[in-house]
Amino acid sequence: MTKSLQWLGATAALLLVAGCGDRDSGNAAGNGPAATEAGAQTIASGLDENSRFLAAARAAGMDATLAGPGPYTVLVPSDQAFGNLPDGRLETLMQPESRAELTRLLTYHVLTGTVLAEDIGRAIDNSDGRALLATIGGETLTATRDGGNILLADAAGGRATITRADETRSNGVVHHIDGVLMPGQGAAPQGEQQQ
Amino acid sequence: MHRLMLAAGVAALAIAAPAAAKPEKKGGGGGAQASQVERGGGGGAQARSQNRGGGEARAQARSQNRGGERAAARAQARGGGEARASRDVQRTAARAQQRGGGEARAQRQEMRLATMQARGNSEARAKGNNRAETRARGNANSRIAEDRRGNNRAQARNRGNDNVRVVEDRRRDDRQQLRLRERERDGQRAQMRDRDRDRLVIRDGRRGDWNDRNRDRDTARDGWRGDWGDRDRWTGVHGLRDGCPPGLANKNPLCMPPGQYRKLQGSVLPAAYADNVLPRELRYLYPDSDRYYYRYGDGYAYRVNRETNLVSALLPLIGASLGIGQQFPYSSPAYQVPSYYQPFYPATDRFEYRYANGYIYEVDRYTGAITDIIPQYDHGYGVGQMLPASYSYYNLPQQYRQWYVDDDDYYYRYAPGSIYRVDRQTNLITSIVSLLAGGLGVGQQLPMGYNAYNVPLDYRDRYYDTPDSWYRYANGNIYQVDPTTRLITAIVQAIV
Repeated sequence: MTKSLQWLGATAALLLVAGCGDRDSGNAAGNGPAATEAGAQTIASGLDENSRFLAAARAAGMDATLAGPGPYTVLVPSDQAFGNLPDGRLETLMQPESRAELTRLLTYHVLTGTVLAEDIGRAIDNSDGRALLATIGGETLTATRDGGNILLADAAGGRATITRADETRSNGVVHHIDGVLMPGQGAAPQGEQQQ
Repeated sequence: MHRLMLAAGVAALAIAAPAAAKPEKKGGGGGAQASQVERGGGGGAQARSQNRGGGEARAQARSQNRGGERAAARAQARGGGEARASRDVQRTAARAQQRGGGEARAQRQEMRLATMQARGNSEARAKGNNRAETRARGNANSRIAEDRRGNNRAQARNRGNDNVRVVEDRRRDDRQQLRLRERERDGQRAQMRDRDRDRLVIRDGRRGDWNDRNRDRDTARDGWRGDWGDRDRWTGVHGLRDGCPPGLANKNPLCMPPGQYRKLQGSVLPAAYADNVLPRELRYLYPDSDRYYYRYGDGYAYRVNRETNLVSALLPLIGASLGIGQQFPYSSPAYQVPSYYQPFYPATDRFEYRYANGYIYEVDRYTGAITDIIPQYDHGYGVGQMLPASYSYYNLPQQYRQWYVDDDDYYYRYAPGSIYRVDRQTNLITSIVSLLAGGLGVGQQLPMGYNAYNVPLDYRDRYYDTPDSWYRYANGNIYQVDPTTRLITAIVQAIV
C-alpha cells in the first residue's frame, strides 16, 4: 500500500517537474535537452499525462510495466491515430470486459530490448528490404523503408510510420508513430464471453 | 498414542494376513521370526519379504496397498476412527523411515503394537510378518505409504519394482472414498499441478509438517514421468462436496462449479460476498457508481444494483469461467489451438488441447474434462484477473528477483510472458510489472523477429554485432548468437 502511494507520489512529482519537449499539448516550457536524456525518466513517466496511450496502458495495468526495469522499445501511437480508429472502438477496449484484448493490443506495440531507428534500418538493409520485428508477445511487425522514414506494417494489414524516433528513457526507448497497429485475429471465437 | 498403536496393529494384521498364507512365511512361529527380524540381519523371512520383483513383491504390494483399504473396511466395522488411525500409522511409519535411522523406530512401534494386540497365533504370525514387511528395504513401502498420504497413485511406483504398479485403479471406489474422508479430516485441498515446473504442488490445510509436504512434491515429481494414469490424479477433484476446482483461489465460500455462477445473475448477492470489496488499485476498473456497486467472489466480479441488491452482471475473473474438472463445452474444431502455440502443446494420446478466450485448456480425451488451464498472457491474463491458486509459490526468474520481493500487501508471480503483482487479500492481479519475451534459451534458435540489434544502450560498447557473433537482449539477459546458424550460443551478461 505504502509503496504504491509512494510511487504515485513520485510519479506525480516527476510529471509536475518534467516538461518534455515531446508533448502534444504543448503546455509546458521544457527543459528540453534534459527531457530526452536517458536516466531521469522512465517510459511511463515520460508519456504525456493526457495521452490516450497512457490511459490505455493504465486500463491494462501496464503503466507499471513501463515504469519497471525493462528495457522496452515502445511504439506510441499519437492521439490522432487513436482517433482514427472506428468509432467507439477505443471506448470498448477500455472496458473491463475487453481488458485482455487491450493488453494484447498494447503488447503489440512493445518490442524487447532497446531498438533504435538505425538498428531497424540496418536490419531492413540486411534482410533485402523487409525486416521482421518481434513484439514482446511473440507476434511480428514488418518494417520497411519508405523514403527517409521507417514504415511498419501490422498483421492485419495496417500501416504506421515512425514520426519521431529515439526518445531514450531510463528503461528503454520510445518511438512515436502515426497509426495504431492491430495484432492478428487469433483463432478464438468469442462464444462464451458474454454474460 | 494408543489409537496409533491399536491401528498399527490392525494394519499389521491386514498386511500380514495374505502373506501369512504362504508356507515360507510361517517360519518358526511368531516369536522366532520376531527375533530374527529384530536382529536386522538377513533372516529368511525378512529376506523373502524384500522386494525382489516377482510374485511375492506383487503380493506384498497388493496387500500393502489393499491392506490399508481392508484395514479401513474392517475398521469401519469397528468404528471409523481406526481407518484414519491406520493411515496415520502408515504415514508415521513411512515418515519414521524417511528420517533415516527411523527403522529402529518403526520397529519399535510395530513391536509395541504387536504386543498390545496379542490375540493368538495368526496374530503372532502377523506380528513377525508385519515387522519384516515394514522394514522391507525396497522403496515400495515408503512409496506406498506416501501414496496413501499423498493421494497419488503415481507415488506408489517403486523404482526397482514395476509390479507395484499392478496396484492400480482397481479398487478405485474404495480409494476414492478414503481420499474424500482424508480430505475432509485434514482440510486438505485438491492437488494442483504447476505446469511450468512440471511438479505436483500439494495445497494442504495442514500447516504442520513441512518435511512431509516437500517430500510429497519431490516424490510426485519423480513419478510424474511415468505412464500411470493421469486421470486418476483428478479423481474426486471435480464436483466434490468440498471440491472447489483448483483453478480458483482460496476464498471460495460458495464453491459451485464455475458454470453455475451464472445462475446468480438476477438474484440477490450472496451474503458471503457482501464484504468482498475490490482492492483499491482495481476500483478504477470496476467503479462503484450511484446505481451499482461491485463485489467479487469465486472467480467473478459482481455488479450489484444498489436499489434492489440484485446481481445485474457477472464479470469472469479467470479462465472465462471455465474451471478444471468441467467439461470443455466446445466440440467444434474452431477451438483448436492457434498455430503459433501448437508446438508447445502437442496432442498426446491422453490429452488434447483447446483454445478459447485467451486460455489454452488441456482436455482429457476420455472424459472430456478440463484438466489444466494455461493462460496465454497476451490474451488471457490481465489486471483484475484472479491468479490461479497453482501459482502459490514465488517463482520469478532469477534475474528479476532483486526487483520484486513479496511483501505484506503484494506478492509477485511469474506466468509465461509476464510478472504480475498480486494483491494478497484478494489474489487479484493489480498490475503487470514486467513483460518477458518467449522462446529464448541457449541452444535454441533465435526466434523470428530478432533481426534488429536490441542491446540496451549501456551495454552497446561491449556487445556489438560482428560477422562472427551477434548480440541480442531478452528477459534480463544478453544472448550471444551465431549469425550463420542463428543459434543462441551463450548468455554473456545477465542484466536487469
